[in-house]
Amino acid sequence: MTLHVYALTERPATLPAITGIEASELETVEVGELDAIVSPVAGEEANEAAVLAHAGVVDGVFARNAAVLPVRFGTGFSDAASLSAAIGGRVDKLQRALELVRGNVEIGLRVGLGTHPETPRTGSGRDYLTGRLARVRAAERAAGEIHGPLAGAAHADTVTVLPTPELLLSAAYLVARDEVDAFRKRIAELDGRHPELTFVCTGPWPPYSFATVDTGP
Amino acid sequence: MSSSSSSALQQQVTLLELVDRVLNKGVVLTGDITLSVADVDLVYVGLRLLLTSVSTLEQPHGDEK
Repeated sequence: MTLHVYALTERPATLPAITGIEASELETVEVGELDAIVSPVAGEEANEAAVLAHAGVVDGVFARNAAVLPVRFGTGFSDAASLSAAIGGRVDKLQRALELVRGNVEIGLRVGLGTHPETPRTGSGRDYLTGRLARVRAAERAAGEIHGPLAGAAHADTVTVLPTPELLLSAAYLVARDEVDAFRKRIAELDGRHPELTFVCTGPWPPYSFATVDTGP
Repeated sequence: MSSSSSSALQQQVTLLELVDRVLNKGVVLTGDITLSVADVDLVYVGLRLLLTSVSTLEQPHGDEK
């Protein structure tokens, strides 16, 4: 048996009335001031059902607790003592992360470029590079016009400009639960101002993108 | 874009974003048993094969800082 870890919360955690991977019972393990949400599974195994069950538990815990840090899928511990030992030295760092996400949700945004004109292959290498650079600069400017006001209205944000040639930006915003509607309205307004771009807004999510605290050695 | 294709896109992107988050984001713990990147990638690829129609909104796996 392995203890699969789903999420970390402040103690006392309120457990959702659902089961985890392979219909295992959820439990809490106390680590310092934190509770780890775990369940015993036969072994860590990567499959679609396990990934979706993990996400379901994170959602359930997130719905019932004010401050939740999702744990990345795929980590198992042989017992509670081993889990405590792995987290023990980093409780302070995790508590700061819990403070940041408390009462907040994550909103995801991807903005697709409707068209992306190919760089003409004629002309000199210099022309090619100049044209390409001009397009990257234009994309950074356009991304800034969208991301800037949204980041200003969020408690925290992450953004990648031009993650693929077709995508202007991919971003995540940490927003208070009761400000989600207002935030979505801001996105809708930006969408309306940019008919040439495709806006896809997702969430609210548990704050996955703001829980990327590396607690490795 | 029609509203029906827009809503289908929304659903697909939501699933894609869910998988990205569960597999690539969140607190990283060093466990006694940690799935290898190769194991996780197999699931990732399997799930993403279902999502080919959002290829234009895809983000390469593991490309983030």
